Amino acid sequence: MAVKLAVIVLINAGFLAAACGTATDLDRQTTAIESVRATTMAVADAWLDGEVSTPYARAALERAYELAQDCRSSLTRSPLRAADPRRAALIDQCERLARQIALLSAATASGDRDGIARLRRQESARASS
Amino acid sequence: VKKIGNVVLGVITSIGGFVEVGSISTSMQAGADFGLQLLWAVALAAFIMAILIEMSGRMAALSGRSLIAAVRDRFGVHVLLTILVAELVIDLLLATAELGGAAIAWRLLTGVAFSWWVLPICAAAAVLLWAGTFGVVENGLGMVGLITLVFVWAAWKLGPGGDALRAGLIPSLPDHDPARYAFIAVGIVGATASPYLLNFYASGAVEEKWSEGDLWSNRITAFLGIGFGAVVSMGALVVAALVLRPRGIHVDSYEQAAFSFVPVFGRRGVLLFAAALLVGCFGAAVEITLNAGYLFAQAFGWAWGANKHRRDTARFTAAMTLVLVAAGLCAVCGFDPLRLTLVAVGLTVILMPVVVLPFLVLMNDGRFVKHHPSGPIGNALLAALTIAAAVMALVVVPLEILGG
Repeated sequence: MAVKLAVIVLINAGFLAAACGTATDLDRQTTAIESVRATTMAVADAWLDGEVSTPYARAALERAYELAQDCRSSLTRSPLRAADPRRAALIDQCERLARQIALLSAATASGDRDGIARLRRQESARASS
Repeated sequence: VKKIGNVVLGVITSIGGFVEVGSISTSMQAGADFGLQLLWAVALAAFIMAILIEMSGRMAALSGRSLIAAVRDRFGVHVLLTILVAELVIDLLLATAELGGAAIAWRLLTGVAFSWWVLPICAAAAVLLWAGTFGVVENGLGMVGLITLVFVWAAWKLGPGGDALRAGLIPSLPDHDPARYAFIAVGIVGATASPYLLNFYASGAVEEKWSEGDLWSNRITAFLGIGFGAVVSMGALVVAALVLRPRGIHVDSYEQAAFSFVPVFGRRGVLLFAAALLVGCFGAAVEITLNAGYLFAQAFGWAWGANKHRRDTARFTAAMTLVLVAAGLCAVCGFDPLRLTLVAVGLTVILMPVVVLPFLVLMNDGRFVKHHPSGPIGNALLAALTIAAAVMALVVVPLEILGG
Protein backbone atom coordinates (compact mmCIF):
# COMPACT_ATOMS: atom_id res chain seq x y z
CA MET A 1 0.00 0.00 0.00
CA ALA A 2 2.81 2.39 0.94
CA VAL A 3 4.64 1.58 -2.29
CA LYS A 4 1.50 2.21 -4.37
CA LEU A 5 0.97 5.51 -2.59
CA ALA A 6 4.59 6.52 -3.16
CA VAL A 7 4.34 5.68 -6.88
CA ILE A 8 1.12 7.72 -7.25
CA VAL A 9 2.63 10.66 -5.36
CA LEU A 10 5.80 10.52 -7.48
CA ILE A 11 3.88 10.39 -10.77
CA ASN A 12 1.62 13.27 -9.73
CA ALA A 13 4.61 15.30 -8.58
CA GLY A 14 6.20 14.66 -11.98
CA PHE A 15 3.10 15.88 -13.80
CA LEU A 16 2.88 18.93 -11.57
CA ALA A 17 6.51 19.76 -12.26
CA ALA A 18 5.99 19.23 -16.00
CA ALA A 19 2.78 21.24 -16.02
CA CYS A 20 4.44 24.20 -14.25
CA GLY A 21 6.86 24.78 -17.12
CA THR A 22 4.45 23.71 -19.84
CA ALA A 23 3.48 26.15 -22.55
CA THR A 24 -0.09 27.42 -22.40
CA ASP A 25 -2.52 26.81 -25.23
CA LEU A 26 -2.06 30.39 -26.45
CA ASP A 27 1.74 30.02 -26.42
CA ARG A 28 1.42 26.88 -28.51
CA GLN A 29 -0.93 28.49 -31.00
CA THR A 30 1.42 31.47 -31.29
CA THR A 31 4.32 29.11 -32.01
CA ALA A 32 2.18 27.15 -34.49
CA ILE A 33 1.20 30.31 -36.38
CA GLU A 34 4.82 31.46 -36.50
CA SER A 35 5.80 28.02 -37.79
CA VAL A 36 3.17 28.19 -40.57
CA ARG A 37 4.32 31.71 -41.49
CA ALA A 38 7.98 30.60 -41.56
CA THR A 39 7.08 27.60 -43.72
CA THR A 40 5.11 29.76 -46.14
CA MET A 41 7.94 32.25 -46.52
CA ALA A 42 10.58 29.53 -46.88
CA VAL A 43 8.57 27.70 -49.57
CA ALA A 44 7.84 30.95 -51.45
CA ASP A 45 11.54 31.89 -51.40
CA ALA A 46 12.58 28.41 -52.53
CA TRP A 47 10.04 28.53 -55.39
CA LEU A 48 11.29 31.95 -56.49
CA ASP A 49 14.88 30.60 -56.44
CA GLY A 50 13.80 27.60 -58.52
CA GLU A 51 14.77 25.15 -55.76
CA VAL A 52 11.34 23.52 -55.45
CA SER A 53 8.87 22.46 -58.09
CA THR A 54 5.45 24.08 -58.55
CA PRO A 55 3.59 20.87 -57.49
CA TYR A 56 5.53 20.76 -54.21
CA ALA A 57 5.09 24.49 -53.58
CA ARG A 58 1.34 24.19 -54.14
CA ALA A 59 1.08 21.11 -51.91
CA ALA A 60 3.08 22.79 -49.15
CA LEU A 61 1.07 26.02 -49.37
CA GLU A 62 -2.25 24.13 -49.35
CA ARG A 63 -1.17 22.26 -46.23
CA ALA A 64 0.03 25.52 -44.65
CA TYR A 65 -3.41 27.01 -45.37
CA GLU A 66 -5.06 24.02 -43.63
CA LEU A 67 -2.76 24.40 -40.63
CA ALA A 68 -3.58 28.12 -40.38
CA GLN A 69 -7.29 27.26 -40.49
CA ASP A 70 -6.75 24.57 -37.81
CA CYS A 71 -5.11 27.18 -35.57
CA ARG A 72 -8.02 29.54 -36.14
CA SER A 73 -10.56 26.80 -35.36
CA SER A 74 -8.90 25.84 -32.08
CA LEU A 75 -8.70 29.50 -31.03
CA THR A 76 -12.32 30.29 -31.87
CA ARG A 77 -13.54 27.15 -30.10
CA SER A 78 -12.86 28.78 -26.72
CA PRO A 79 -15.75 30.64 -25.04
CA LEU A 80 -13.19 33.15 -23.70
CA ARG A 81 -12.57 34.46 -27.20
CA ALA A 82 -14.23 37.88 -26.77
CA ALA A 83 -12.77 38.50 -23.33
CA ASP A 84 -9.18 37.76 -24.26
CA PRO A 85 -7.51 40.40 -26.47
CA ARG A 86 -4.42 38.22 -27.09
CA ARG A 87 -6.61 35.41 -28.35
CA ALA A 88 -8.56 37.81 -30.58
CA ALA A 89 -5.29 39.17 -31.99
CA LEU A 90 -4.10 35.65 -32.73
CA ILE A 91 -7.36 34.84 -34.53
CA ASP A 92 -6.84 37.96 -36.68
CA GLN A 93 -3.29 36.83 -37.44
CA CYS A 94 -4.53 33.38 -38.46
CA GLU A 95 -7.17 34.82 -40.78
CA ARG A 96 -4.72 37.26 -42.38
CA LEU A 97 -2.10 34.55 -42.81
CA ALA A 98 -4.64 32.16 -44.34
CA ARG A 99 -5.67 34.86 -46.87
CA GLN A 100 -2.04 35.54 -47.69
CA ILE A 101 -1.32 31.84 -48.21
CA ALA A 102 -4.35 31.52 -50.49
CA LEU A 103 -3.04 34.42 -52.62
CA LEU A 104 0.45 32.90 -52.70
CA SER A 105 -0.99 29.54 -53.70
CA ALA A 106 -2.97 31.09 -56.56
CA ALA A 107 0.08 33.06 -57.72
CA THR A 108 2.22 29.91 -57.64
CA ALA A 109 -0.35 28.00 -59.71
CA SER A 110 -0.34 30.72 -62.37
CA GLY A 111 3.45 31.11 -62.28
CA ASP A 112 3.18 34.78 -61.24
CA ARG A 113 6.71 35.39 -59.93
CA ASP A 114 6.21 39.16 -59.47
CA GLY A 115 3.01 38.57 -57.52
CA ILE A 116 4.74 36.11 -55.18
CA ALA A 117 7.69 38.43 -54.64
CA ARG A 118 5.27 41.27 -53.77
CA LEU A 119 3.21 39.12 -51.38
CA ARG A 120 6.42 37.81 -49.85
CA ARG A 121 7.63 41.39 -49.16
CA GLN A 122 4.26 42.38 -47.68
CA GLU A 123 4.22 39.40 -45.30
CA SER A 124 7.82 40.01 -44.33
CA ALA A 125 7.08 43.65 -43.52
CA ARG A 126 4.01 42.65 -41.50
CA ALA A 127 5.94 40.05 -39.54
CA SER A 128 8.72 42.51 -38.66
CA SER A 129 6.25 45.20 -37.59
CA VAL B 1 30.59 -17.92 -45.98
CA LYS B 2 26.90 -18.32 -46.76
CA LYS B 3 26.04 -17.64 -43.12
CA ILE B 4 28.22 -14.53 -43.04
CA GLY B 5 26.50 -13.39 -46.23
CA ASN B 6 23.12 -13.93 -44.57
CA VAL B 7 24.21 -11.89 -41.55
CA VAL B 8 25.40 -9.03 -43.76
CA LEU B 9 22.13 -9.19 -45.69
CA GLY B 10 20.18 -9.23 -42.41
CA VAL B 11 22.03 -6.17 -41.10
CA ILE B 12 21.58 -4.30 -44.39
CA THR B 13 17.86 -5.06 -44.59
CA SER B 14 17.45 -4.07 -40.92
CA ILE B 15 18.98 -0.69 -41.74
CA GLY B 16 16.84 -0.33 -44.86
CA GLY B 17 13.69 -1.34 -43.02
CA PHE B 18 14.23 0.75 -39.89
CA VAL B 19 12.88 4.09 -41.01
CA GLU B 20 9.14 4.46 -41.49
CA VAL B 21 6.44 6.97 -40.77
CA GLY B 22 6.75 6.78 -36.96
CA SER B 23 10.51 7.19 -36.75
CA ILE B 24 10.59 9.96 -39.38
CA SER B 25 7.82 11.99 -37.73
CA THR B 26 8.94 11.64 -34.10
CA SER B 27 12.63 12.20 -34.89
CA MET B 28 11.97 15.24 -37.05
CA GLN B 29 9.56 16.71 -34.49
CA ALA B 30 12.23 16.18 -31.83
CA GLY B 31 14.86 17.94 -33.94
CA ALA B 32 12.61 20.84 -34.96
CA ASP B 33 11.37 21.44 -31.39
CA PHE B 34 14.42 20.67 -29.25
CA GLY B 35 17.46 20.61 -31.53
CA LEU B 36 19.86 17.75 -30.87
CA GLN B 37 18.73 17.41 -27.26
CA LEU B 38 16.68 14.24 -27.85
CA LEU B 39 19.33 12.16 -29.64
CA TRP B 40 19.62 10.10 -26.46
CA ALA B 41 15.97 9.02 -26.78
CA VAL B 42 16.66 7.53 -30.23
CA ALA B 43 19.71 5.68 -28.88
CA LEU B 44 17.75 4.40 -25.86
CA ALA B 45 14.81 3.29 -28.00
CA ALA B 46 17.16 1.42 -30.35
CA PHE B 47 18.85 -0.32 -27.42
CA ILE B 48 15.46 -1.43 -26.03
CA MET B 49 14.38 -2.64 -29.46
CA ALA B 50 17.63 -4.53 -30.06
CA ILE B 51 17.22 -6.40 -26.75
CA LEU B 52 13.62 -7.38 -27.56
CA ILE B 53 14.40 -8.29 -31.18
CA GLU B 54 17.31 -10.51 -30.10
CA MET B 55 15.08 -12.29 -27.58
CA SER B 56 12.21 -12.84 -30.01
CA GLY B 57 14.67 -14.15 -32.62
CA ARG B 58 16.30 -16.47 -30.07
CA MET B 59 12.93 -17.84 -29.00
CA ALA B 60 11.84 -18.37 -32.61
CA ALA B 61 15.09 -20.13 -33.51
CA LEU B 62 14.92 -22.46 -30.49
CA SER B 63 11.19 -23.17 -30.30
CA GLY B 64 9.96 -22.53 -33.83
CA ARG B 65 7.36 -20.15 -32.37
CA SER B 66 6.83 -16.43 -32.80
CA LEU B 67 5.88 -14.24 -29.84
CA ILE B 68 2.12 -14.56 -30.31
CA ALA B 69 2.27 -18.37 -30.67
CA ALA B 70 4.46 -18.61 -27.56
CA VAL B 71 2.04 -16.41 -25.61
CA ARG B 72 -0.86 -18.65 -26.67
CA ASP B 73 0.96 -21.82 -25.59
CA ARG B 74 2.33 -20.42 -22.32
CA PHE B 75 -0.37 -18.05 -21.03
CA GLY B 76 -3.60 -19.30 -22.60
CA VAL B 77 -6.41 -17.71 -24.53
CA HIS B 78 -7.22 -14.69 -22.33
CA VAL B 79 -3.75 -13.17 -22.46
CA LEU B 80 -3.50 -14.14 -26.12
CA LEU B 81 -6.72 -12.31 -27.03
CA THR B 82 -5.67 -9.19 -25.10
CA ILE B 83 -2.36 -8.98 -26.95
CA LEU B 84 -3.90 -10.01 -30.29
CA VAL B 85 -6.64 -7.36 -30.24
CA ALA B 86 -4.26 -4.63 -29.05
CA GLU B 87 -1.66 -5.50 -31.67
CA LEU B 88 -4.23 -5.66 -34.45
CA VAL B 89 -5.58 -2.20 -33.55
CA ILE B 90 -2.06 -0.77 -33.58
CA ASP B 91 -1.23 -2.60 -36.82
CA LEU B 92 -4.34 -1.18 -38.48
CA LEU B 93 -3.54 2.37 -37.34
CA LEU B 94 0.10 2.06 -38.37
CA ALA B 95 -0.72 0.48 -41.73
CA THR B 96 -3.15 3.35 -42.40
CA ALA B 97 -0.50 5.90 -41.43
CA GLU B 98 2.14 4.17 -43.59
CA LEU B 99 -0.16 4.07 -46.63
CA GLY B 100 -0.95 7.73 -46.01
CA GLY B 101 2.76 8.53 -45.71
CA ALA B 102 3.51 6.78 -49.02
CA ALA B 103 0.61 8.63 -50.66
CA ILE B 104 1.88 11.97 -49.33
CA ALA B 105 5.26 11.20 -50.88
CA TRP B 106 3.51 11.05 -54.28
CA ARG B 107 1.65 14.26 -53.44
CA LEU B 108 4.97 15.99 -52.76
CA LEU B 109 6.15 14.96 -56.22
CA THR B 110 2.99 15.55 -58.23
CA GLY B 111 0.79 17.93 -56.23
CA VAL B 112 -2.16 15.52 -56.69
CA ALA B 113 -4.26 14.99 -53.51
CA PHE B 114 -2.91 12.10 -51.44
CA SER B 115 -6.18 10.16 -51.29
CA TRP B 116 -5.89 9.52 -55.06
CA TRP B 117 -2.63 7.65 -54.49
CA VAL B 118 -3.85 5.30 -51.77
CA LEU B 119 -5.57 2.83 -54.13
CA PRO B 120 -2.58 2.31 -56.48
CA ILE B 121 -0.29 1.93 -53.46
CA CYS B 122 -2.64 -0.67 -51.93
CA ALA B 123 -2.74 -2.51 -55.26
CA ALA B 124 1.08 -2.59 -55.41
CA ALA B 125 1.21 -3.85 -51.81
CA ALA B 126 -1.38 -6.54 -52.59
CA VAL B 127 0.63 -7.76 -55.59
CA LEU B 128 3.76 -7.99 -53.45
CA LEU B 129 1.93 -9.77 -50.64
CA TRP B 130 0.24 -12.27 -52.95
CA ALA B 131 3.11 -12.97 -55.32
CA GLY B 132 6.22 -12.34 -53.21
CA THR B 133 8.08 -14.75 -50.97
CA PHE B 134 9.29 -13.74 -47.51
CA GLY B 135 12.76 -13.11 -48.98
CA VAL B 136 11.35 -10.74 -51.58
CA VAL B 137 9.36 -8.81 -48.97
CA GLU B 138 12.11 -8.68 -46.34
CA ASN B 139 15.28 -8.46 -48.41
CA GLY B 140 13.87 -6.72 -51.47
CA LEU B 141 12.17 -3.95 -49.52
CA GLY B 142 15.11 -3.72 -47.11
CA MET B 143 17.60 -3.21 -49.98
CA VAL B 144 15.43 -0.58 -51.66
CA GLY B 145 14.97 0.95 -48.21
CA LEU B 146 18.66 1.81 -48.12
CA ILE B 147 17.60 5.02 -49.86
CA THR B 148 16.65 6.21 -46.37
CA LEU B 149 20.40 6.56 -45.76
CA VAL B 150 19.86 9.90 -47.49
CA PHE B 151 18.99 11.22 -44.00
CA VAL B 152 22.50 10.32 -42.84
CA TRP B 153 23.99 11.86 -45.98
CA ALA B 154 22.05 15.08 -45.38
CA ALA B 155 23.15 15.19 -41.73
CA TRP B 156 26.75 14.56 -42.83
CA LYS B 157 26.60 17.44 -45.32
CA LEU B 158 25.22 19.76 -42.63
CA GLY B 159 28.05 18.79 -40.26
CA PRO B 160 26.54 19.12 -36.80
CA GLY B 161 29.92 18.69 -35.06
CA GLY B 162 31.03 15.90 -32.76
CA ASP B 163 30.65 17.87 -29.52
CA ALA B 164 27.03 18.77 -30.25
CA LEU B 165 26.23 15.15 -31.14
CA ARG B 166 27.89 13.83 -27.98
CA ALA B 167 25.99 16.37 -25.86
CA GLY B 168 22.71 15.24 -27.45
CA LEU B 169 23.41 11.63 -26.53
CA ILE B 170 23.44 12.55 -22.84
CA PRO B 171 19.95 13.07 -21.37
CA SER B 172 19.38 16.66 -20.28
CA LEU B 173 16.47 18.86 -19.22
CA PRO B 174 14.83 21.07 -21.86
CA ASP B 175 14.88 24.85 -21.60
CA HIS B 176 11.18 25.06 -22.56
CA ASP B 177 7.99 22.96 -22.58
CA PRO B 178 9.11 19.90 -20.54
CA ALA B 179 5.81 18.09 -21.11
CA ARG B 180 6.26 18.17 -24.88
CA TYR B 181 9.90 17.15 -24.47
CA ALA B 182 8.86 14.15 -22.37
CA PHE B 183 6.06 13.23 -24.77
CA ILE B 184 8.35 13.28 -27.79
CA ALA B 185 10.95 11.21 -25.88
CA VAL B 186 8.32 8.60 -24.98
CA GLY B 187 6.95 8.82 -28.53
CA ILE B 188 10.37 8.01 -30.00
CA VAL B 189 10.48 4.86 -27.86
CA GLY B 190 6.93 3.95 -28.96
CA ALA B 191 7.71 4.56 -32.63
CA THR B 192 10.89 2.46 -32.50
CA ALA B 193 9.74 -0.42 -30.31
CA SER B 194 6.70 -1.33 -32.40
CA PRO B 195 5.25 -4.72 -31.40
CA TYR B 196 4.73 -5.61 -35.07
CA LEU B 197 8.51 -5.65 -35.57
CA LEU B 198 8.96 -8.27 -32.83
CA ASN B 199 6.40 -10.66 -34.24
CA PHE B 200 7.47 -9.99 -37.84
CA TYR B 201 11.12 -10.67 -37.03
CA ALA B 202 10.31 -13.89 -35.15
CA SER B 203 7.94 -15.06 -37.89
CA GLY B 204 10.72 -14.43 -40.40
CA ALA B 205 13.05 -16.57 -38.31
CA VAL B 206 10.49 -19.38 -38.42
CA GLU B 207 9.95 -18.88 -42.18
CA GLU B 208 13.71 -19.14 -42.77
CA LYS B 209 13.95 -22.16 -40.46
CA TRP B 210 16.48 -20.72 -38.02
CA SER B 211 17.97 -23.16 -35.51
CA GLU B 212 20.35 -23.11 -32.56
CA GLY B 213 23.25 -22.52 -34.99
CA ASP B 214 21.74 -19.19 -36.02
CA LEU B 215 21.79 -17.63 -32.54
CA TRP B 216 25.05 -15.74 -33.13
CA SER B 217 23.80 -14.31 -36.42
CA ASN B 218 20.54 -13.36 -34.68
CA ARG B 219 22.48 -11.43 -32.07
CA ILE B 220 24.63 -9.61 -34.64
CA THR B 221 21.63 -8.81 -36.85
CA ALA B 222 19.62 -7.50 -33.90
CA PHE B 223 22.26 -5.24 -32.39
CA LEU B 224 24.10 -4.09 -35.54
CA GLY B 225 21.00 -3.80 -37.73
CA ILE B 226 18.98 -1.85 -35.17
CA GLY B 227 22.05 0.15 -34.15
CA PHE B 228 22.80 1.31 -37.69
CA GLY B 229 19.08 1.78 -38.32
CA ALA B 230 18.96 4.16 -35.37
CA VAL B 231 21.71 6.20 -37.03
CA VAL B 232 19.25 6.85 -39.90
CA SER B 233 16.65 8.10 -37.40
CA MET B 234 19.30 10.25 -35.79
CA GLY B 235 20.10 11.63 -39.23
CA ALA B 236 16.46 12.74 -39.61
CA LEU B 237 16.61 14.38 -36.18
CA VAL B 238 19.87 16.19 -36.98
CA VAL B 239 18.55 17.50 -40.33
CA ALA B 240 15.41 18.88 -38.66
CA ALA B 241 17.50 20.40 -35.86
CA LEU B 242 19.91 22.15 -38.21
CA VAL B 243 17.54 23.20 -40.99
CA LEU B 244 14.01 23.62 -39.58
CA ARG B 245 14.69 24.77 -36.01
CA PRO B 246 16.74 27.88 -36.94
CA ARG B 247 13.93 28.92 -39.32
CA GLY B 248 11.24 28.45 -36.63
CA ILE B 249 9.52 25.68 -38.62
CA HIS B 250 7.88 22.89 -36.61
CA VAL B 251 6.96 19.54 -38.11
CA ASP B 252 3.16 19.57 -38.19
CA SER B 253 3.03 18.09 -41.70
CA TYR B 254 5.21 16.07 -44.07
CA GLU B 255 5.30 19.05 -46.44
CA GLN B 256 7.20 20.95 -43.73
CA ALA B 257 9.45 17.95 -43.07
CA ALA B 258 10.26 17.68 -46.78
CA PHE B 259 11.51 21.27 -46.85
CA SER B 260 14.38 20.23 -44.55
CA PHE B 261 16.17 18.68 -47.57
CA VAL B 262 15.89 21.78 -49.79
CA PRO B 263 18.77 23.82 -48.29
CA VAL B 264 20.92 20.67 -48.27
CA PHE B 265 20.26 19.17 -51.71
CA GLY B 266 18.73 22.10 -53.59
CA ARG B 267 16.46 21.07 -56.48
CA ARG B 268 16.84 17.36 -55.70
CA GLY B 269 15.85 17.89 -52.06
CA VAL B 270 12.11 17.26 -52.23
CA LEU B 271 12.63 14.37 -54.65
CA LEU B 272 15.08 12.65 -52.28
CA PHE B 273 12.85 13.21 -49.25
CA ALA B 274 9.79 11.92 -51.11
CA ALA B 275 11.68 8.85 -52.32
CA ALA B 276 12.86 8.02 -48.78
CA LEU B 277 9.37 8.60 -47.37
CA LEU B 278 7.73 6.53 -50.11
CA VAL B 279 10.07 3.56 -49.84
CA GLY B 280 10.15 3.60 -46.02
CA CYS B 281 6.37 3.86 -45.67
CA PHE B 282 5.54 1.40 -48.45
CA GLY B 283 7.92 -1.20 -47.04
CA ALA B 284 6.52 -0.78 -43.54
CA ALA B 285 2.91 -0.97 -44.82
CA VAL B 286 3.65 -4.30 -46.53
CA GLU B 287 5.45 -5.70 -43.46
CA ILE B 288 2.69 -4.58 -41.06
CA THR B 289 0.01 -6.13 -43.27
CA LEU B 290 1.96 -9.37 -43.55
CA ASN B 291 2.41 -9.33 -39.79
CA ALA B 292 -1.35 -8.98 -39.31
CA GLY B 293 -1.74 -12.19 -41.32
CA TYR B 294 0.89 -13.86 -39.12
CA LEU B 295 -0.92 -12.70 -35.98
CA PHE B 296 -4.27 -14.17 -37.00
CA ALA B 297 -2.80 -17.42 -38.30
CA GLN B 298 -0.46 -18.02 -35.36
CA ALA B 299 -3.12 -17.13 -32.79
CA PHE B 300 -5.75 -19.46 -34.27
CA GLY B 301 -3.41 -22.21 -35.45
CA TRP B 302 -3.98 -21.74 -39.21
CA ALA B 303 -1.44 -22.70 -41.87
CA TRP B 304 0.77 -19.69 -42.58
CA GLY B 305 3.90 -18.62 -44.38
CA ALA B 306 4.81 -16.14 -47.10
CA ASN B 307 6.98 -18.85 -48.67
CA LYS B 308 4.04 -21.22 -49.09
CA HIS B 309 1.57 -21.26 -51.94
CA ARG B 310 -1.30 -18.89 -51.19
CA ARG B 311 -3.82 -21.68 -51.94
CA ASP B 312 -2.36 -23.67 -49.01
CA THR B 313 -2.61 -20.70 -46.64
CA ALA B 314 -6.01 -19.35 -47.65
CA ARG B 315 -7.09 -17.99 -44.24
CA PHE B 316 -3.69 -16.39 -43.60
CA THR B 317 -3.81 -14.74 -47.03
CA ALA B 318 -7.42 -13.62 -46.55
CA ALA B 319 -6.60 -12.11 -43.13
CA MET B 320 -3.72 -9.99 -44.42
CA THR B 321 -5.71 -8.94 -47.48
CA LEU B 322 -8.63 -7.84 -45.28
CA VAL B 323 -6.30 -5.79 -43.07
CA LEU B 324 -4.77 -4.15 -46.17
CA VAL B 325 -8.23 -3.29 -47.51
CA ALA B 326 -9.33 -1.92 -44.11
CA ALA B 327 -6.17 0.21 -43.82
CA GLY B 328 -6.61 1.42 -47.40
CA LEU B 329 -10.23 2.45 -46.73
CA CYS B 330 -9.18 4.32 -43.56
CA ALA B 331 -6.39 6.07 -45.49
CA VAL B 332 -8.79 7.11 -48.29
CA CYS B 333 -11.06 8.67 -45.64
CA GLY B 334 -8.35 11.32 -45.29
CA PHE B 335 -7.09 10.85 -41.75
CA ASP B 336 -3.97 12.98 -41.28
CA PRO B 337 -1.13 10.37 -41.36
CA LEU B 338 1.04 12.43 -39.00
CA ARG B 339 -1.65 12.68 -36.32
CA LEU B 340 -2.60 9.04 -36.81
CA THR B 341 1.03 8.09 -36.29
CA LEU B 342 1.15 9.94 -32.98
CA VAL B 343 -2.03 8.15 -31.83
CA ALA B 344 -0.55 4.78 -32.85
CA VAL B 345 2.71 5.63 -31.08
CA GLY B 346 0.79 6.51 -27.91
CA LEU B 347 -1.15 3.23 -28.07
CA THR B 348 2.10 1.31 -28.62
CA VAL B 349 3.50 2.81 -25.43
CA ILE B 350 0.34 1.88 -23.52
CA LEU B 351 0.61 -1.69 -24.83
CA MET B 352 4.34 -1.98 -24.19
CA PRO B 353 4.15 -3.54 -20.68
CA VAL B 354 1.79 -6.22 -22.01
CA VAL B 355 4.32 -7.05 -24.73
CA VAL B 356 7.44 -6.89 -22.56
CA LEU B 357 6.15 -8.75 -19.49
CA PRO B 358 5.66 -12.13 -21.26
CA PHE B 359 9.32 -12.03 -22.36
CA LEU B 360 10.36 -12.14 -18.71
CA VAL B 361 8.61 -15.49 -18.34
CA LEU B 362 9.17 -16.93 -21.82
CA MET B 363 12.90 -16.21 -21.88
CA ASN B 364 13.34 -18.28 -18.72
CA ASP B 365 11.14 -21.20 -19.78
CA GLY B 366 13.10 -24.19 -21.12
CA ARG B 367 10.25 -25.13 -23.46
CA PHE B 368 10.85 -21.93 -25.44
CA VAL B 369 14.57 -21.20 -25.10
CA LYS B 370 16.01 -24.65 -24.27
CA HIS B 371 19.52 -24.17 -22.85
CA HIS B 372 19.72 -20.48 -23.73
CA PRO B 373 17.66 -18.66 -21.09
CA SER B 374 18.32 -15.04 -20.25
CA GLY B 375 21.19 -14.59 -17.79
CA PRO B 376 21.14 -12.27 -14.76
CA ILE B 377 21.95 -9.24 -16.94
CA GLY B 378 19.25 -10.09 -19.46
CA ASN B 379 16.68 -10.62 -16.73
CA ALA B 380 17.69 -7.42 -14.95
CA LEU B 381 17.37 -5.48 -18.22
CA LEU B 382 13.96 -7.03 -18.90
CA ALA B 383 12.74 -6.27 -15.37
CA ALA B 384 13.94 -2.67 -15.65
CA LEU B 385 12.33 -2.41 -19.07
CA THR B 386 9.03 -3.77 -17.75
CA ILE B 387 8.97 -1.17 -14.96
CA ALA B 388 9.97 1.61 -17.37
CA ALA B 389 7.31 0.45 -19.85
CA ALA B 390 4.66 0.50 -17.11
CA VAL B 391 5.62 4.04 -16.08
CA MET B 392 5.63 5.21 -19.72
CA ALA B 393 2.23 3.60 -20.27
CA LEU B 394 0.86 5.51 -17.26
CA VAL B 395 2.22 8.88 -18.32
CA VAL B 396 1.88 8.83 -22.11
CA VAL B 397 -1.75 10.04 -22.34
CA PRO B 398 -1.39 12.89 -19.81
CA LEU B 399 1.85 13.86 -21.56
CA GLU B 400 0.14 13.82 -24.95
CA ILE B 401 -2.50 16.22 -23.56
CA LEU B 402 -0.03 18.42 -21.65
CA GLY B 403 2.44 18.34 -24.55
CA GLY B 404 -0.13 19.65 -27.00
